[in-house]
Amino acid sequence: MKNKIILLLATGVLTLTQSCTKLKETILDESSVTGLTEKQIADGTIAPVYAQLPNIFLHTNLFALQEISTDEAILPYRGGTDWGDNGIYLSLHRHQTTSTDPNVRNTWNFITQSLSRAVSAVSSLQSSKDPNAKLYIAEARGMYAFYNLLALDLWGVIFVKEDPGQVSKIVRGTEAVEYLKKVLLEVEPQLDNTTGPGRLTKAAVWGLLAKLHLNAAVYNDRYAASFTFKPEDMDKVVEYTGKIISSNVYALSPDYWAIFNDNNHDNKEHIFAVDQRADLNGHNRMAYFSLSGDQFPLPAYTGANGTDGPAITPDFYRSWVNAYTPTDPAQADPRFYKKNVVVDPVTQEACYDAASYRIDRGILRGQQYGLQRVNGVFLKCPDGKFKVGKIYNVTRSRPTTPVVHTEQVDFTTAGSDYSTGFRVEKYEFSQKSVSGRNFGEADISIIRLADVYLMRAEAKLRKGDAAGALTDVNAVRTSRSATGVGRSLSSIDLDGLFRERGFELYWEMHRRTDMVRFGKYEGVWTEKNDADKNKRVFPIPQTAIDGASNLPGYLKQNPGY
Amino acid sequence: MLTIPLLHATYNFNVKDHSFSALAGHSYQKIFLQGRGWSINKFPVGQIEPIYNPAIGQELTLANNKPSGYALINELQSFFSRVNYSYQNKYLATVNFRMDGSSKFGANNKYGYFPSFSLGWRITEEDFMKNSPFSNLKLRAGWGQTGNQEIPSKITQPLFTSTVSSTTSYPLAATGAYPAGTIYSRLANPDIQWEVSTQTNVGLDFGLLKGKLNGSVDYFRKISNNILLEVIPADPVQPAGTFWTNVKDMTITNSGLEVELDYRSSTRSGLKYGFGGNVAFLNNVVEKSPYSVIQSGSASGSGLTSATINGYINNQPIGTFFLKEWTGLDANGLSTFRDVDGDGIISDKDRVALGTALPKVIYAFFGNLEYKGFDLVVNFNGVSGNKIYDNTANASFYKLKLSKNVNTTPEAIALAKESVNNAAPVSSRYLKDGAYMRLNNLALGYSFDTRSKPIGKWISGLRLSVTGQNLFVVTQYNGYDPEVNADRTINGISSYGIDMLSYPKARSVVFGLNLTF
Repeated sequence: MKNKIILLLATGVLTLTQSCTKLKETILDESSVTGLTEKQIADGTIAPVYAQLPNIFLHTNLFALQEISTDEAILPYRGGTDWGDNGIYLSLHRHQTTSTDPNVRNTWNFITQSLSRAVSAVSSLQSSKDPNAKLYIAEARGMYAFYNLLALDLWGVIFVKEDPGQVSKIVRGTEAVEYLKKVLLEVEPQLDNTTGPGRLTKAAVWGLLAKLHLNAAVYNDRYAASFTFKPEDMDKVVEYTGKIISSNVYALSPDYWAIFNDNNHDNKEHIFAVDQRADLNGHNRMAYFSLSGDQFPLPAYTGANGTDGPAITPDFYRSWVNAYTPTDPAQADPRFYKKNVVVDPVTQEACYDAASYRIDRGILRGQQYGLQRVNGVFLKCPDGKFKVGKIYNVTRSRPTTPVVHTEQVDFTTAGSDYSTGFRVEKYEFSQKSVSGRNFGEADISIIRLADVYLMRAEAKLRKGDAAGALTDVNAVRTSRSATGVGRSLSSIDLDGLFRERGFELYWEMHRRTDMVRFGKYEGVWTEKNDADKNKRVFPIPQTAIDGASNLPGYLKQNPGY
Repeated sequence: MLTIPLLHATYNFNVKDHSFSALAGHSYQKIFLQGRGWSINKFPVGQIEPIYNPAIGQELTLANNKPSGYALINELQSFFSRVNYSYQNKYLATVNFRMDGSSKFGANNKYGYFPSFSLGWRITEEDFMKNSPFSNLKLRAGWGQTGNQEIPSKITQPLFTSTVSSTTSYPLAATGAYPAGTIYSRLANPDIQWEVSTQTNVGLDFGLLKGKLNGSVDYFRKISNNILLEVIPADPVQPAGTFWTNVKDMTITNSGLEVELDYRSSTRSGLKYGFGGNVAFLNNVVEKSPYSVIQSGSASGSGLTSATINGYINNQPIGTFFLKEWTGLDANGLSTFRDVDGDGIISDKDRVALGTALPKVIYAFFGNLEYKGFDLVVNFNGVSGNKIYDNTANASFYKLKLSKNVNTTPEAIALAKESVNNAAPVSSRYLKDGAYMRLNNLALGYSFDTRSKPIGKWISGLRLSVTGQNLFVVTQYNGYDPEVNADRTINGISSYGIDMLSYPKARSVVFGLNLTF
């Protein structure tokens, strides 16, 4: 009997060793890439480093964080149906954003992912035999500095990661500023100056260095009662901006609006920009976000409209009025408004060719005019052209309420209605945007020449050279000859320069950084009176804090959150 | 598709009072899952059902109707053996050993080894029990290990893809084709291995009153370690936002006591009756987690999507709600929360564990009666000690949302001094008691005695019945139904107790007439 038991167990062991399957996982539906050429590998490695730029420079991401938190933009809960999002845009404007804010998290995720791609690219391109590899390594490392600069500005932290296998070192303050300077100076000699504005060039790095030195006072001592701008930093700003200006590669655009048109890729004002292509990565959110939901800008597409998103605050509007009173800002400054739609003063209507029809640009006030969409089609004039007239809140089921943008916009029920607030249509509404959201064509500016002039003016002013500053400011003001020449200023001070940056760069995602640097971020404006200095940076997303909680002390939340 | 070949051999033999049986076997499962998706849009409203002629759809472009598909194979292979031994049918022992292999794990960790033992003692077989009131008494005890392999496929293998897409490619030149961007889509974890649960249990079966009353009492304690979870890496600079791993050192202990009783009897007059029930007292705890919280359930609703609702927290049960504690309204009608860490700021550092979605007590009881053709059955069930997060109210029925709208709910306007601009972040304000008791089933029937009547020639059975299901629920929960589990899973970790637009259970009354010919 016993023998039989042993036999049985032995059979068992025998089966164990002669496994019928090796349990090797079979993969049927995906394959990791193989068989690429050196060039394909090199191009395929650098492209992802830039690829998330349109997602970072998105209306709900960097735009919301840099603009809705300031006096330039306010986004109420429109009509009780739109942009409610459980109050996150109200909180953002009031400086009450919390660490679970989804827009803060999304922006963080895109930036950290792009950082990771930059680190991987630097590492994997080392062995590449492609002739472009050296340039790509410099670009990837430069973009690593750029994304870190964004993180430093938004959260006060940078990630030092020289190798993909290493755990990032979290660095704040002066150490971060010095590290980014070092990296940018390392890559600058390696970079090209012909691959812009969509890619990082030598001039783009000069621009980043100028920005870094200009804001160094803030980044070194974020919560200071007042910032100390060191003369040597200001000298560096003058040096790097001067390199860009004297390179003579770039020029201030005579037509202010051409900087933001669909075909702006070759506009000589751009030094560094998000290269958007309608057939690849472009979004139209910059043009769509503020526009009325009943404004249909494209005769070709009956589904392409705005969304009644943010408006400018009355405070920002008043800064224009006060600067030019008694002249209306639209007459006084070519950057304020461009009229494209002209209607008959009596009938309030007009007829336009599809090809020549463009909506107004700049800051939109009062009654809005546009294509007349009835039952899903645009009305036409007897001559077959498209009929243009007053628009009404038809898509809001209020067909008798005209779309009239008012100065007042706030968080009251009246101030939160669909049409409240003056709107901004700075970028051209992409002619290819079927839905109004997709297929953007215009490059989104990151650094352009006017910003460079204004940075130099500010550095000069902070060093006491008011005359030099005034020359640079007036160079920008008088350059827009194609759209009506702006008046020269006769004097300039820091408040004047801050105002000038608003007039030139409004809604271009600089405002929060500017307000902090000019000591105005703790000020009072419509629906905002928080004066907590801790709000100069955003909270680190809770998901990241919780994810890093297995390494105590590694990723610390910013104070005040 | 599931294929399960199973081979095994058994062998039995007896020597005097000793009885043995042994078994050894091998099993193999192959699971082949595949799916394809196509879409066609803009069907005209008309007489033709699209399913009979998809070609009438007006939009079919590759851009908007991109086909999709997936296919995966998982294999599981097990070798197992078991030896049963009993002595005089009084003392019982079983030894099991299994070796389970899964294709989901890395080459070095494919197999898990899982032994188990159990012992039994039929006390009523003992001589000294001959005159006892027990008709049955058996003591059981066991110890064993099992494995868990519930992770997605392909975790051990990296994936880097090269595609031209808006999130991977970028123009490198003014003109020309866009380069295919190569990115990591998934980080490999080649060392991922079996999650192991070790369970100890002790139980007693008993019968009393000549078998009329039967019951059992069981105590169990299960400790799981090497927990398989998808976590966010500590270093934010990563190609992918999450990865699957065995969380080191962390354990989840699940213990409980289960009692079951069943009484059946009848009287001489023909009344048959029975009643009984079962109750389980459960306790669950997470220990030695290296994380402050591993999220398991996230909120949904615009503006809420990155807030945690529940997760794995040290010294708390799984499914613990981890929330800011709502303390009411301030003078301006805005919400206030408890400042737990006392830093003067209300933030996510003030989140506290506020109960769990897992019930502490689960119970059911029943009764039945039969008398002269009538029969009545009643079943109740319920839970207590658990909480529910009312995400529906949090996302859709808060004052700010409703104030600029036309609808309302009593809960949204319950507080007159609440400001219409009061945001409704995820907090304990929407955490509610989830205890309930439900009359699950009540059935009354009458069977006619047709056989003894002349009609019995044609109709052998006639029965009338009425059955009610879900007739009432006793609960304080004011959402649709306390039995919820909207799947708010994040990172592949099951969520519990979150009510988000759950469809309520139907209440039904069914009248029946049964005829048997």
